[in-house]
Amino acid sequence: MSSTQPPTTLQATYFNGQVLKGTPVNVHCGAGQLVFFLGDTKHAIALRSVKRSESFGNAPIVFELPDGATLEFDRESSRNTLKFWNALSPSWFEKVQYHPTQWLLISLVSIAFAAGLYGQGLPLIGKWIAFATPQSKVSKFMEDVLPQLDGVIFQPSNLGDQAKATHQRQLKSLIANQAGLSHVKLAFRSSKIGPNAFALPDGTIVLTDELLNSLPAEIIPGVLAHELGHVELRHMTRRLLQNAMVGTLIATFSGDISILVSTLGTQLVAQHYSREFEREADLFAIELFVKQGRDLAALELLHEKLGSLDQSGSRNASYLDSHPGADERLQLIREKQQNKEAR
Amino acid sequence: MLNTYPPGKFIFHGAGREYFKIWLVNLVLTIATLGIYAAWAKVRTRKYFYQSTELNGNRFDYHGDPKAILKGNLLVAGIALTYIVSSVYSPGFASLLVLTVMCLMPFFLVMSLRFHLANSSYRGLRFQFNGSTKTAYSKLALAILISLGCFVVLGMVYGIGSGFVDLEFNTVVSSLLVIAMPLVLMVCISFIFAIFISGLRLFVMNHSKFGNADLKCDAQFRNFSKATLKSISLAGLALFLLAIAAFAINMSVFTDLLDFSLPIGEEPSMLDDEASQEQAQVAMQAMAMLSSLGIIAILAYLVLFAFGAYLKTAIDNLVWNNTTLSNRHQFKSTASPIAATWIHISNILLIVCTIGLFLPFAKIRSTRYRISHMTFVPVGSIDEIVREEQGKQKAFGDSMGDALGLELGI
Repeated sequence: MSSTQPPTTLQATYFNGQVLKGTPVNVHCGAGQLVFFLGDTKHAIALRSVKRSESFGNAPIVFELPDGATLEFDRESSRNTLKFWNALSPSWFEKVQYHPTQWLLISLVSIAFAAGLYGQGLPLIGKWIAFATPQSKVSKFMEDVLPQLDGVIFQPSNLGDQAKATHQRQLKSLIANQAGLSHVKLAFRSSKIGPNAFALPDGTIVLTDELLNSLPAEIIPGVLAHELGHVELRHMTRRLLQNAMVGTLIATFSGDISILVSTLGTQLVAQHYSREFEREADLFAIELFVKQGRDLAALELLHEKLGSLDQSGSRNASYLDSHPGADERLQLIREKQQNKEAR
Repeated sequence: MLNTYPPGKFIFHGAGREYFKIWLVNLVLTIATLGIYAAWAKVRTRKYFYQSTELNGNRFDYHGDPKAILKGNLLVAGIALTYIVSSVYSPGFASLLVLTVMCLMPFFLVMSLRFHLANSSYRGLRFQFNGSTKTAYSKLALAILISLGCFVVLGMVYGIGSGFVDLEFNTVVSSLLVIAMPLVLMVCISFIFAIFISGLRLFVMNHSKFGNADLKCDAQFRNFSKATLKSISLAGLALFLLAIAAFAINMSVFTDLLDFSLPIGEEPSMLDDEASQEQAQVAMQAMAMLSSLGIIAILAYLVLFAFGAYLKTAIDNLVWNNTTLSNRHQFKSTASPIAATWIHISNILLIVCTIGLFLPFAKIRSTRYRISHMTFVPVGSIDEIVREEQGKQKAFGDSMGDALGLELGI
């Protein structure tokens, strides 16, 4: 059957782009030219000036001629002949649509690439920007974050001056020899969202009364060290940058992706990043404690306490949603301690 | 030969599995290229849908240039980034930005239509849109003024009505007023909807051309109002029934649980065993109530979607059935609003159940229903329609329109 010669002419419909009516024509191909007759007039058009526009499904194959006219070929009956003529192959995208294995391959490769980009690439870019921007600039941009939060979730603290002074002293001794952390300030607030501690992008650490009341004062340095980790590693800034980047990208995707899928995706990505950050901050706290010769037992106690606070809610989902579970953190501390003892 | 064409049915050849393949590659490539590919994805999607639409043996086609759309997308991304960043440290600027974009909406709409129609073709002839930005703004301003007037009147009526209720004029009269107020509100909202929808649809249709032939729609405002009133009444009725259901659920929980109000949404800060057990019990019951209320809320959401689909189909029918090409040839649109609503709602449910994978099939399904209920009824020959010269189009308005969710039902 392979010896069957494909036909030398193909039926097509010619539309001149000026009137609505099409004309059936017989098209030949030879010497790099498409040749057809309209009435008695011979039209010979160089193949390289013809553009094959994309078409999908069983839609006709359309050749766009340089003068704005078009030739339409029935896809089923002319596909093989066009291929044989080697006249204007379809775009890669169109080809892939008719080859299931190629289609699968390109989908899988793109998915793998995208996963790598979003898992590794964007955090790297965010990190790079966050550390390339001087802290003084970040602080200036972000200085009104706390006043804004004050209106929404915070109320003035009811804590006594004595307790405040204690925590200020604790902070001071923690940042004593840390050049990058000299700008850190403490802010005390009473909050509507329960026991919590935040590190804002400008280096302000917010401690809520609810947290300070539920934890003994001597383990607060553990909390502070953890938050100092967030400040030192610029987590809040990086998170804002990542969210902004993902948000912008989604804005450009919109239209072709259901909102459902995209928001789900952002949530998952954001959740992953923040867990990563919590781990980094925990590690920073442990290292700071080791460096300053503090007792890691205080950190251990802190996480046990936080763990028991969690128990009253649900296990593993912790005082900030995205914090790693208490068990995980205790594990981390114990490992560190063992390393230290081994040395 | 064929100088008088038989009544032409629009035929849609799109198939879910075909579009799924296009959609998935588009989706993953868009994500992998940080959105740059989205412009190509948009063109390919439109090409697929246009080329799948047949009338009298020939397909429609779309010719948008992805590079032009990319420029528009970058502009949109720039604005989005500015918005996100500025909303963090300068909310004032961010809201100013939103306001500016809102004010530019009619402009974007016109740009979008120009690009969209100039790049749509049938049998080698292009469509075009020749509406001006000025007309768009004046129509919008008029619509806003009339609606504001409506609200003022509504406010006055409401004031007088509640005055009567306050006076305890008569229990029968006041309860009648309580029932009448939502009805008056509904009529007013239908009226305002009709103003905006008729203004937009007539503006779009009456400035559209195919080749040198004008499309003209002479649908009456009264019929637009009828369509909106009917849709809003149906939606209102459904919401009313849901509200009754929600009320009933609320009551059933309240009767055996008087003080449930405290613990929801609060961090359990007490470690006391007894207290937390009691809290847990209360929380459980509250959860049960909240989840049934949650279902009601989801149903209410679906009612709003259904309302949208019903109204759109009714308006599409009205517009197309009153539209002529070259002042002679007619269109017929016979889609049933109820069937279209069912398709829309079942699509949403299926998309949710398949975490989005049904999306391409859903799009095919609803498009097929809409297009296969359209007919072109030529009166005499359509061959005198010829090309008309038109200028080059910029695409950034097109992207703006898409990003802001302007759905152009052409």
